[in-house]
Amino acid sequence: MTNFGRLFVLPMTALLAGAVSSVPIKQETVVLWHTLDIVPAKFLQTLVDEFNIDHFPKVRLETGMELTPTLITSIEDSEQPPDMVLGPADLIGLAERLKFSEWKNVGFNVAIRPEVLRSVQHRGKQWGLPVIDGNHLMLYYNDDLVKQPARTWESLGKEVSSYTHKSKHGIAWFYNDPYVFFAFAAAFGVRPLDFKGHINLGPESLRQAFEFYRRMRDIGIVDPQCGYGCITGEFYKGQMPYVINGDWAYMDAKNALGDKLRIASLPSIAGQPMRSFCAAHLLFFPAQSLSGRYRKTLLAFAQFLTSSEVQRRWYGGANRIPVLSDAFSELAKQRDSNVTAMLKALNEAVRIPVAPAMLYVWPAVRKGLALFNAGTQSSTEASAFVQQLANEQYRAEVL
Amino acid sequence: MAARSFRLQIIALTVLAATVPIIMLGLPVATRFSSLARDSSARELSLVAEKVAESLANRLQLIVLHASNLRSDSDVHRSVKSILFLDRADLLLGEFLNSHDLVAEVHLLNQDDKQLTAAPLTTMMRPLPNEMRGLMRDAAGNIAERTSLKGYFIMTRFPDGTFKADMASPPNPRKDFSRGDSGLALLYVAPIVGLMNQRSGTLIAVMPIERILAVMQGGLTGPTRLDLLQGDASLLGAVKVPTTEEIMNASASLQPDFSDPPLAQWLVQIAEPYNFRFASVQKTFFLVVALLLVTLMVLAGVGFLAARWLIQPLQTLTSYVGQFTKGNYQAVKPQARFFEFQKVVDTLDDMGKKTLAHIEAEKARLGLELNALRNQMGPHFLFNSLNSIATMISIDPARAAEMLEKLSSLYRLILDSSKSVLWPLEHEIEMVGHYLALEQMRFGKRLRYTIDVGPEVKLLRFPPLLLQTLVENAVKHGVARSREGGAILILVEPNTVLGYRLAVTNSGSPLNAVQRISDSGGTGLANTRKRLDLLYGPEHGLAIKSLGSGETMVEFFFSASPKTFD
Repeated sequence: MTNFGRLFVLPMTALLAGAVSSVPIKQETVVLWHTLDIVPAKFLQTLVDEFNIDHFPKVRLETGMELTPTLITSIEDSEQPPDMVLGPADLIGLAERLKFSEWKNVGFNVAIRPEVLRSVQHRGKQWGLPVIDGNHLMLYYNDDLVKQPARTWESLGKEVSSYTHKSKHGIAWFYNDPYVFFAFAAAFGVRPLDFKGHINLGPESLRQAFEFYRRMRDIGIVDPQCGYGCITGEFYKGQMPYVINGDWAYMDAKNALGDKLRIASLPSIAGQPMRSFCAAHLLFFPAQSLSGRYRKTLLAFAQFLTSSEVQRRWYGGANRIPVLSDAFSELAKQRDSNVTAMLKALNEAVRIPVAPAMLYVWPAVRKGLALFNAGTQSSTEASAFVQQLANEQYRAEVL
Repeated sequence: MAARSFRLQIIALTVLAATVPIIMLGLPVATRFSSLARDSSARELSLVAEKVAESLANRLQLIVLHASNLRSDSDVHRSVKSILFLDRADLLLGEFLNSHDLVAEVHLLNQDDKQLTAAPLTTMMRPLPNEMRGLMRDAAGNIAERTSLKGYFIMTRFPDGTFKADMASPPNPRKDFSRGDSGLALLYVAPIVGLMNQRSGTLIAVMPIERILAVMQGGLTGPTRLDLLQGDASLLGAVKVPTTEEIMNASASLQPDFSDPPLAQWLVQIAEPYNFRFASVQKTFFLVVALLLVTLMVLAGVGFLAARWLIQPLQTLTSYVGQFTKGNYQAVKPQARFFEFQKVVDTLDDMGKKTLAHIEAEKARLGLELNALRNQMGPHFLFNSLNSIATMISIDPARAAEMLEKLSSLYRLILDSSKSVLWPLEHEIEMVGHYLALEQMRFGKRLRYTIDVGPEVKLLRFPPLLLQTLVENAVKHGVARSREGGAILILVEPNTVLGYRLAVTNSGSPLNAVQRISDSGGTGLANTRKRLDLLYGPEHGLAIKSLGSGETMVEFFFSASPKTFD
């Protein structure tokens, strides 16, 4: 280079370098939405922090929103949809509407438990990657107050009415939550969808379920107004013998009751087993995010979450059941009666349907249950109302 | 003019001074106060009605605004199309319901007028009555004429849970609207309009009249009745005239929405029992009157007692002075309440004692004088008279006996004269007559006398021996000193000076200068003068006059009422 060139090029280079360095670098992140409870959310943040050490762009968690409608709004109104969503399996029903990326040809395999994998297929496609399993209901009880957990509702009813402890009621659950109601309704043969994926709750079965459900309230076994308060207040303080709650609450209960906490399967009703739903949580990629610029990071994060090492940590860190087969096997080998009971309850639960129609069942059941419990509608009317509302809305929106 | 009672005057003045102003001022003030209170209450009611109307209009406008925002909310738009957003819609409707105490229900309907949800959920109505559907279609038809802010007010009747809708335009007065138990309700029916200005759903906010009235009534105190009347004042005609039992007033018409012309107009009318607000006024009024009366009585009593208290020293004084006027100078000295009165009492007491001493002294002195005077007539006259009688016995025994009788009568009269300071002039004349008769026995024709005293005068009370002294002097100094002797005239007649005049005129030896001034060689005239001074004061005018031609007259004046010391 000539001296003139050096004189020209070098300063120009320096000038350009300075100009470039003075331009601020945009902090790029990929956003993950989730609706996990406090303990698993905290654990997830821990994992994200670990992942972000070696990856760019960073993963940022957002939570607290009402997942389904917010997702729909963000997609349809183009309001900055997230790059990933960690949500329950029934979100698969909105796969098309939310433009989920199909999980295929991702470049790595994950040894997911077969039953989990089957539960997340819809029309032969997989719309996300299962990360954790569970989300099922169990019968929690206090070992000091209950020597042998009730196996039927008949015996449980007698048992709770004879208690002389401080609690007004012997058992509590989120009475108005349709997720819990469905566990009872299942004992009466209520299935939300038929084999074609259409809504068919079975009006008579549903009616009977409504009747039983209300009877539990009327005879004083349960207080519909005392759900969260009774669970965290009386049961956690050792004053209530039983609660029905999901596996997501196990760590809180364990911290409260310690060794007195026990798990059992849900009691049967008139010889018929209660069947809770269970659902895996999948990592979804809305708005076709896997096809976007952050594909590499997203896949790396997915792989991270489903790695053996991380999967083994999910139960210990957040009491969430791993989806990876070997991690699950190791968990199952634990000599912990509660773990055994939890996995047993999971096995007894019914995988939540992932057909789109399922999403229309929840609000309809919630409405029908509320109207029935308020006395506005009879069990027959409420049953018919639920069926009609769910079907009408499903047909109007989807079909 | 008869004297008035000072005490009663004081009492009357005190009571009048205390009570008249109160009576004259109290009643008009109380009446005016009552009138002002009435007017003020009516004005206050109108302000209350305006305030309530304004509050209601503001609440309704807030409802309209909030509902307008809801209609524009994307979640609400989605919720009428997708059940997946129903939970969000429930949340928004719940917030709407909790934000507006006038709203009892909020309903969300889809495009086909099917109920999707409601707050509270128990108020879901399915199926929707036909009248309502008709209204929805009418509302849809009118959308083009209204902006997104506008909604509809429709009055609805809810007897026994059934439902009936009436269009409120044009507004017609309906009496039932003001009744809280009529079951009427206001419905704000707002179409949910999508991007293409197509109605995609309907929002209905239900406001029962009883709730509206209850909320509005909650801001009032006391037994006040509040009515919501449909229509403006011109449509309703005159606002109801208040009865005598209540005060009533109404607000200006309120228009709850932004429409022009308004779809609905109302009046807030407030009625209050007359006694409610005026109970306290009346109570105060009666209390004031009662207090006035009590004050009057108290003041009258206080005035009376004060007057009595003030007058009591005067009464004491009056009573004490009264004793003096009765001549009781020895009355017990009272104790007066006040220093000034006590001084008067002390002075009177002192005067009384001095007067009493003076009287006693005079009594004694007069008594001594009288005795002295009596003693003057003693020895010589008796000696001479007895000698004359003794001589007469041998010459004229009958005449001697007569003279002796006259001498006896004379001394009997002299004895009688010592019994009192005054005696009838008749006795004095009789005594003088006996004396002159006896002297005439001694002087014979040398002594001539005439006594000229009218019968009416003889009854006057007269000092004894006073005329006797003058006649004695006339005989001694006039007749006895003249060779020819003389005549004595004794005259007593009425006179204007003191009432009466007594004159003793004698001829014979004239009165010399020394005898005019004093009675030389004797104390008779001097004593006479003193006695006259004491009895009649200086007005007696005792004078000795020489009348010429050897006549001497001694005269004085006297009254019928001398100062007696009996």
